[in-house]
Amino acid sequence: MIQLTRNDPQRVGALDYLLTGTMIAVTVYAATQSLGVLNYSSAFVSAALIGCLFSYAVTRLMPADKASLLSGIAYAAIGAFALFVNPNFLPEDNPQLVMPRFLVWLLVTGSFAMWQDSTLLFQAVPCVALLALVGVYDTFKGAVLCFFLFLLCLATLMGRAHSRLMMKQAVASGFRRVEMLKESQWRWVAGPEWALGSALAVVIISILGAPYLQESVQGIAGVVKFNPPVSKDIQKPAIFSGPSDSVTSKVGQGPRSLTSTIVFYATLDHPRYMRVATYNNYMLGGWGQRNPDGVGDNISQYARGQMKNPLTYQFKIEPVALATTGYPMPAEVSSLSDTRALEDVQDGTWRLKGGGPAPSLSGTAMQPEATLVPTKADREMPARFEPYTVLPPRSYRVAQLAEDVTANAKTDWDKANAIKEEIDRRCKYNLFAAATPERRDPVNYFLFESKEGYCDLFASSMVLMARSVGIPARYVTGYYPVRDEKDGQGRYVIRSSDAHAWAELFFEDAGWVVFDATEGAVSVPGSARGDATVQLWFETFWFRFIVIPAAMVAIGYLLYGLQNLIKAARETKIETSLKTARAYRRFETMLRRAVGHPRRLSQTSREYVDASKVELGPAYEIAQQVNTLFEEALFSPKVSEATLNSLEAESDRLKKALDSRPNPKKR
Amino acid sequence: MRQDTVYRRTGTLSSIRSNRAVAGTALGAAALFMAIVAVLLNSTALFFMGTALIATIGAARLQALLSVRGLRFERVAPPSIRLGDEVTIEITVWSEKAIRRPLISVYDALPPKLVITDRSPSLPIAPAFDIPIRSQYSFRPLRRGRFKWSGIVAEGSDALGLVTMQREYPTAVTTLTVLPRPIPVNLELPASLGYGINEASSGKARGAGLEPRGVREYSRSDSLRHVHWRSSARARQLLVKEFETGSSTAAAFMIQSTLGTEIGADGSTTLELMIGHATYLADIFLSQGAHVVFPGLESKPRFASHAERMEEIYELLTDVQANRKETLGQDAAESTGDLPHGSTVYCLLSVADRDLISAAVALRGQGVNVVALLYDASKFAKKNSRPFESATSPEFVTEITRSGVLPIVVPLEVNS
Repeated sequence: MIQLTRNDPQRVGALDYLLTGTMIAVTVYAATQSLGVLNYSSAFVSAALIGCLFSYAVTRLMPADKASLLSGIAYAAIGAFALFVNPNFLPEDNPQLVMPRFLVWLLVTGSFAMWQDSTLLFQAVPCVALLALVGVYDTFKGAVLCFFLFLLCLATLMGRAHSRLMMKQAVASGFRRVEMLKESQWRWVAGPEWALGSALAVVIISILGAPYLQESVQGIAGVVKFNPPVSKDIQKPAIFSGPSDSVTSKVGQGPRSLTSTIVFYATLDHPRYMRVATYNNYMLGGWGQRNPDGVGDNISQYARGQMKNPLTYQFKIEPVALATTGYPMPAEVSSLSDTRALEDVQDGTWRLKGGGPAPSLSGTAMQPEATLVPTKADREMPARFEPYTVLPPRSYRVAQLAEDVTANAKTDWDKANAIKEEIDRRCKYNLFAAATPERRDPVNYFLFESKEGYCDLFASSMVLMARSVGIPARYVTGYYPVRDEKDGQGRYVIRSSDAHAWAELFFEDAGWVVFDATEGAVSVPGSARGDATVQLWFETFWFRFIVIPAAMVAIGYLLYGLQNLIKAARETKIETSLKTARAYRRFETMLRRAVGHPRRLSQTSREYVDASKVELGPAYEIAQQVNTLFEEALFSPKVSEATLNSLEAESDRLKKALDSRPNPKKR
Repeated sequence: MRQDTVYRRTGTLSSIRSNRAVAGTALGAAALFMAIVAVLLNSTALFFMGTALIATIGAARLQALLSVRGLRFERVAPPSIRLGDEVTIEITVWSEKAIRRPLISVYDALPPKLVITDRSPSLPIAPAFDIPIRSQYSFRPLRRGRFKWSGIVAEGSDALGLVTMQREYPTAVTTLTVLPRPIPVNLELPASLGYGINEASSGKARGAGLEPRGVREYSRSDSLRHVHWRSSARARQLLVKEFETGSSTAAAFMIQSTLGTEIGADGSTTLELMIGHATYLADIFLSQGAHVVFPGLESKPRFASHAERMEEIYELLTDVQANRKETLGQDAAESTGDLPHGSTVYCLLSVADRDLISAAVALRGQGVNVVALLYDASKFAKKNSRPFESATSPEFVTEITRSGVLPIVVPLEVNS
């Protein structure tokens, strides 16, 4: 039968594992964030925490000597595994990333072999190394915070380990009552709590001092230009909460972090593309607006005017967590219930005017007649709409491709569809596609080299190829309820992962028509449209089914232990105080018999003994000593078993002395 | 202070402490690295990290420094102990500053001549302002002598145990007397010479009193020839006959303590073994009523009770060191006139001493028996010992036998 080992103050305890777990968790988190592998963050953190729990269980089940012997061997084996095996979890196989990869694996797997102080503390080494690398890469803003948290945990852990080491030294010195140390020799010690206090002071000093230091060395700082091995495709913000609505929108920037956070609810007749921002000017690998404020060309009004026999439909938008100033709207809005909080950008999009929460809005929108199939692009647009037709410089290859694929098309509509089909045929949809290398044009790279990408590349390619054959087109960002998810009220649930980009081509009689080139594209498994690329930590499998139950067990165990401690402390206190009281009653009885009268109420015990000097005779000195012991025992907060024993022994000595006194009657 | 002798029985602790010291150094190196790289790359994150680590090391050093400042010590050692006994030294510490400190350890600067083993680390303590806090440590002495020392080293660290600092404090002089410990030895001494006399040889000893005193339990050094079989059968245990050697019988012990004759190292030397054996034999002789003297070490031995005399002998032998210029033979020759007629001189020696031959002749002429207890010094010799002639060399044994000395080679494999 498995026997739990007794709580030994000289062995690592639950708090130590909690501190180490936190230490490793923040380090691994910082590292994965810094390396851009956000989807591995929670898995690694969870695995490390499970490792800590496992190690704690081992220390509770295995005798100390065995654990200490095996811990080193197990850790060495794990270290070898981490060094030679370390499966690659990074999107790139860069040799310079071997070190952080090794360190992450060492931390995570090493947490399963921390069965003694030395291995527990050794984990700080890869932690410091990894955090230093995170600092060198400088790609994660929370690194400093993580480091401070790590430092606080490390200081407390080391303080506790030092106390345990000193306790072992106390035992080696021949001191037997180590459990009494904190009430005696160690009563005034600056222990682990002082270590934590010092670390807090250090953190404050660093927060105040580091900027000053950095400022003071600006003359010589930054002499070395370092290109971190972490490429830009993995330098991403932690969470991407919506489509771009800024003046410019870069494309081909690597995987986006799409969560399943609900952004808004939309009441629509069927799934529709909802614009947030539009762009007409392709430059330097991204989209921009020719008119920086985006207002002025009034293409929206022109588009509505182009529609023949338009149909109208109702819609309602109820924002939950809009992270953009662009307000998602379907096309083309003809009326809104309340426009006070919004500004019409005149390109078919709307944006919030100022601060404050985004209001819920309902309205009416127009769409071309359902049976209408446009054939001709609007090549006679007013001159102010020229930007929608401009092809960027050095797009010959894209133009050539467009012309090739549309050679047999008779109408503009056919051309547009041929282009879309060509893009679908050539390219795969992949949310985790790598970023476009520096100094390369994203559309060229996407169409002719990587042939893998996400919506922004599909849409950009569609726009540029359409313009190549004379069809006015623009790049649009927004949302599309690709999963057709509805709530109980029939509203479409629009999540962060529904963020999208598409192309809109301008046709006579129809206005802007959506061409989403991703529709027919083949998806890389697990990377289809609408998939979330990042699970929030509390939504992960690990957290829900392993960490939470394990944490509940741990909390239950801690509460159970705490209850036992309180109970034991109470029982000990009651028991010892009872024993002390009994011993004192015996002492008083002995004195009363010897002296012949009881202690007066106005007398202290010492006064009683002093006043009875004559009657006590040679036993007076012993009585004084015993009385001193009782004073200490009765008025000290805690009485040890040893003190009680010495009280009883001294009382026996007093009794013998009293008995051996010469009988006054005989004298 | 001999750090190498510290923690002889706590090797693990020692290694853990050194690992922690390495950790402290590593953390310092990491701090330096971060600071340099932070400047080179102008990385904000590294500036924060480097500053924090440097501040941590700085705080640790400050704490360690303060932990050993403003202390007062008082040491209490037992006045005397036997060789090999565990001695516990109590050290009381007062803090003269009202500050909280991390735990400190104390290291006593023991004199180099005090060879010890099993030294324990001191009890770590947290000194309190104006309140005495007691620490302790223990060891086992391996050499006799009177030792004095003063001064103490306080070793403190920070609360994290990263940095260690030491500071030496003066203390009052402490004295410790390490008395010899009797080492039993199994020797076939001639019966007439006061050590288990039997009836057969009793007539050969001149002046030996032979009144029977009774029987006693068999002890390891008794010869089987002295077993009283009838009493043994009755009592169902071995009993030997014991004889009164008479008050006129005197046993004199002379121990070779000439400079350079102590062979061996630390506590395992020929002198220490001879002292132990002499103490044991003296105790046996005294218990049999003989008068035991140590010529050369004491001027006028007094007739005292067994216990009192043993106390005197312990004190006497405590001071014997191998530092005399005179040889054993010269000492024996000098004491010729002091020894009573019929007494026996036991000369304990490990290195051949040819002065003993002439001294023995003189002693024999005075009617004093001479017994040489010979120790094989080569068994104590270390690799780099200077050359010497062991007292058990056949030539030397032949020579002293010719001069009338009874040579007895002490069996070392049993007792050493």
